[in-house]
Amino acid sequence: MTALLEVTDVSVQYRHVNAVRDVSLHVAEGEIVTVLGLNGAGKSSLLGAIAGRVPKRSGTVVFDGENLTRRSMARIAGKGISLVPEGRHVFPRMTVRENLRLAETTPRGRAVAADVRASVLDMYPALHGLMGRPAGLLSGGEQQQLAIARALMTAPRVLLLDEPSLGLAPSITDRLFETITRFRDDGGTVLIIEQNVRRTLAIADRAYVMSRGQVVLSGDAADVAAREDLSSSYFGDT
Amino acid sequence: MQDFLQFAVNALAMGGTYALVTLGLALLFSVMRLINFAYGVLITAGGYIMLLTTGMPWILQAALIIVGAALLSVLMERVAFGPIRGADGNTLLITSFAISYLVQSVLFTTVGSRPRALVMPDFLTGSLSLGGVSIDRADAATIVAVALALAATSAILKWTTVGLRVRAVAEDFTMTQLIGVKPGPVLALSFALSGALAGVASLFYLAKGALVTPTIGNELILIAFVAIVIGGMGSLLGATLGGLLLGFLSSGLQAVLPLGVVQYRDAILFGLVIVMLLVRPQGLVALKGNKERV
Repeated sequence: MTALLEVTDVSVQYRHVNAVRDVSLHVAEGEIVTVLGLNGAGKSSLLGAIAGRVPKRSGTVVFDGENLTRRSMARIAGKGISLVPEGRHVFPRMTVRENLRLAETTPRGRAVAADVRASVLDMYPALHGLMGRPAGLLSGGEQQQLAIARALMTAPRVLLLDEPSLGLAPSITDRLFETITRFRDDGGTVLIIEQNVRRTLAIADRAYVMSRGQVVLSGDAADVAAREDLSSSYFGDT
Repeated sequence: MQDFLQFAVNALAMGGTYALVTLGLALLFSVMRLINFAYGVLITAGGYIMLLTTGMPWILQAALIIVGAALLSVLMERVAFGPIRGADGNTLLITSFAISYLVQSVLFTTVGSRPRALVMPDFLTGSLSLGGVSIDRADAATIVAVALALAATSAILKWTTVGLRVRAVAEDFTMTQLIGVKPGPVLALSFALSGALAGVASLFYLAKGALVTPTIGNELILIAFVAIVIGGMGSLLGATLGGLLLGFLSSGLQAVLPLGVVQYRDAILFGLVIVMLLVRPQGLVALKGNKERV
């Protein structure tokens, strides 16, 4: 299987801190891949570096054969890599409809067929009655649904999800995982950081474990899940 | 009653002119945290465009001034502010001072500091009688123009795709780009819109005195910044209301202060501003909607 997204030796440095050190990973089309690690291991910085949000000190990001290392955030998003950052980042003073319209009117969003847009909205019935409401007034769960629906409006090929279930009620988290698997079943590719490690490993194909900015372990999700020695520190098991 | 109506019209015209400028400035602040002292240059430029085009029909002059100010504003962004986009507020502020002084110096050495008279069309001079009340033609025209300009700006921001993007950039610059919106054209449009507002303000601000000097825009800008602070930094509505309010206060003081005190109008006005900021430092319109309901 050839990789859709190929990250090679990427490093990220903030002032004097090496947040990410020579990390390489690859994601094949249709895979769900998760990055595990403690807080501060460099997971978010890695996703940010792929999306162009965080400057890379070195390394390359190649997507579908094209080198995106030095591309801007907007260009990378335009290629179909969509980052849903931690904390949702909906536009609080804009209505739900306007949040969605912003994505629909991007060059990539305009190419998405109307029935595809409608089917995305069908997945989030909770948003239907809230279209005219400022997004800042939604609950955390509603904001998360909006953030993912907004990303899906541009028909991304790869979703980069940073802690999507943070602060969500259990029932909403169930829906979130359904959405992720459904996106994959429809041909999408996912790279996810998620505190619900057991659950994420259950839907993931492969996993990388990061520690202090480096990848220390990688393998099939089932094999990583079976590693007893990782369970207490990384999986939140007691 | 007659006096009151005259006062109201005068206050609305003055506040409206301020509001155009405060909205133009707040637009730039909200999209790139820029406090643009060079904005006065656009007002001044409007005056010199009018001087250069003396003899043309007024409507054509007006179009040239509005388009000219919009283009100059975009030019500022392309040449000066765009390359240092993302720099901190102080760097941007000092850059704006530099542009302002550069343009003023060039004007001083080329056209000179002598005030030049502008020829105003008939409908902007003298007064007209409305049901027995005499009001300045310039004031009446200003009120109509301000209403149109504010309505057009809010329609663009509310209903068009570019307006939506301008608002998105103002709320979350990074997330807007992560969605796939290129920031360059959005910033250019913000500067164009902001410049066009300066052009409209220039048309009517200069109509009152019918003079242009290389520094004529500065006084208006200073007042506008005070109005923005009153209204609330970063809120377009707040800035607009702040402009209107300051115009009303200024005209109101002019009308009610006794003869020996009226020359202290601005001192009293800015004293009131200080008091207001002590009571409500966040401005009239504090930003809402950022809180998450859990």
